[in-house]
Amino acid sequence: MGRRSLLAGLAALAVTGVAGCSRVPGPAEGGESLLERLRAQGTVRVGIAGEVPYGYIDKNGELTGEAPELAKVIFKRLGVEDVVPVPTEFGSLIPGLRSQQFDVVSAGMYINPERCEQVIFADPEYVMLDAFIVPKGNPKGLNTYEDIVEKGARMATGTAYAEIDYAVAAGVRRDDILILPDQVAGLAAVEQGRVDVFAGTSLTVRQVVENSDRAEATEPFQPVVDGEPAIGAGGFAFRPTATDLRDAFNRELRELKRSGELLEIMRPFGFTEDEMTDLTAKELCS
Amino acid sequence: MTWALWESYMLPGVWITVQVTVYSAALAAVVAFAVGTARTSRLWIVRFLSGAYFEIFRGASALVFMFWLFFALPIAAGWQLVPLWAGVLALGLTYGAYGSEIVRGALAAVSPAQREAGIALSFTRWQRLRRIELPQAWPEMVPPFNNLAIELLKGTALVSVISVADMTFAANLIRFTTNDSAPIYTLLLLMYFVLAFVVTRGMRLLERRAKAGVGQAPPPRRGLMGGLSRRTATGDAAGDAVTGAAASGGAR
Repeated sequence: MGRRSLLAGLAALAVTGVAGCSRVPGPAEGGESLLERLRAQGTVRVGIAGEVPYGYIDKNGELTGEAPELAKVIFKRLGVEDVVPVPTEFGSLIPGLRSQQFDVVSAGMYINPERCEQVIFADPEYVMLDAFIVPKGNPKGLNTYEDIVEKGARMATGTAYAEIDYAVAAGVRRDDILILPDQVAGLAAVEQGRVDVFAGTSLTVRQVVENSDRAEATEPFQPVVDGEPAIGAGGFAFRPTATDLRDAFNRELRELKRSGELLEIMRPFGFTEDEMTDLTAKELCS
Repeated sequence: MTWALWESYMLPGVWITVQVTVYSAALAAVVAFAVGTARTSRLWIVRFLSGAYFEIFRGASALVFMFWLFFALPIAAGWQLVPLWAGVLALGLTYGAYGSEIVRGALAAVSPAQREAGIALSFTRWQRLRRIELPQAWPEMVPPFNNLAIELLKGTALVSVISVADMTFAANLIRFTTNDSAPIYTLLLLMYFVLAFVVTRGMRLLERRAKAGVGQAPPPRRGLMGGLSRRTATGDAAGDAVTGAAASGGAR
């Protein structure tokens, strides 16, 4: 290789390297004009966690799930045509949102006070009970978090799942909970006998065990924290500066709830009348 | 796994893996040569700075550095890197630090008489490096660079955690649609192996040319599967021992 071509190659590399940077929109730009910016570029990047039925890539390689389908409808009404998925791990959703890797978390994320300190939520689009993945026949008879404590069962759940706190409130030691990346890892852990139970939301659990001959899902149940039912209500999350976008999103969401279209969007994913809610993010954050 | 998933995620994933490997190998090579030769400098400050770089990047975790570039830097600096480049930067800088030790070792293994001959002919420091030391050290670097390139190829799987859609990332997505981990991870292992095999064969060609370039006998050609049963007493041995003091044969 000639010296000149080597130098040219290096220069090309340096140029592409510089092209690899982009300016992070500052708080001011991100605040007032995020909706305007999205409208202008015609696309919104949504963070999903590969969790059925909330947000995932289906067999045809298409983005789907209750949250992305809802996002497609609402953003279209807000004048943003394209919804681009950014798949990541559940535990990376909030860090990724804050570091601008995507504009919205569209993963049916539960709204709780801890998360409200880091992001702002739209009103929830559903409420959901918990359920367990257990070995076929549920040999230890595990149906609630209290059963896990009583039977001394080994429990697993997902990274940054709200189920961790529910279990701790019921008396499971935090250190004893095995944290796995996702529900498929949870299914494998139960099938292989590494844990007795994997806790998740009832729809996810039901879906993941569908083709398993060694594991099954328990009946959905209401987790309880400090004597109060812990309501698992999932919604879209935004950066704290994006209040305009969140408010516009809320307006459209309320409209969909009022007209009953919301249920029609979510029904194909296993949601029913029981999962619909009129709770607000404000109530769930405190 | 359906064809649609294969077409829209797995094949682009293979291409991303190849890209990340090539870009970070190029960056690592530049860093390796720059830092490796800087560590033989006469000026203490150059030696100190390159040594500091080497120690820091060899000792820091590539994965954590990648997280730092991806999650911490945008908030601290107001600039964000495209995920692919955050991955390339983290891998290139880290593997460059490993590579610099190979360069330094190979330069140290060039016979002192060669350097002295350069001085006697009143070559400048730069001329000596370029015309005498590097050409002789280069064939010694290739086999350990081969190792490093394969290590780097497999290390590119790390970029999947910062949402770069490489092969590993595609495999994880496909895992969610099938709820079954074993088949897709088995396939993934095989795919990395095939890519690594291609890298090895390419580096072997490079080694032949490098050795021929300084008048050494190239390793015998034995076809695609040749290396598997080769006795190590010949070609590879000198290369594998490069970070020590490889024997400098009379042929040079």
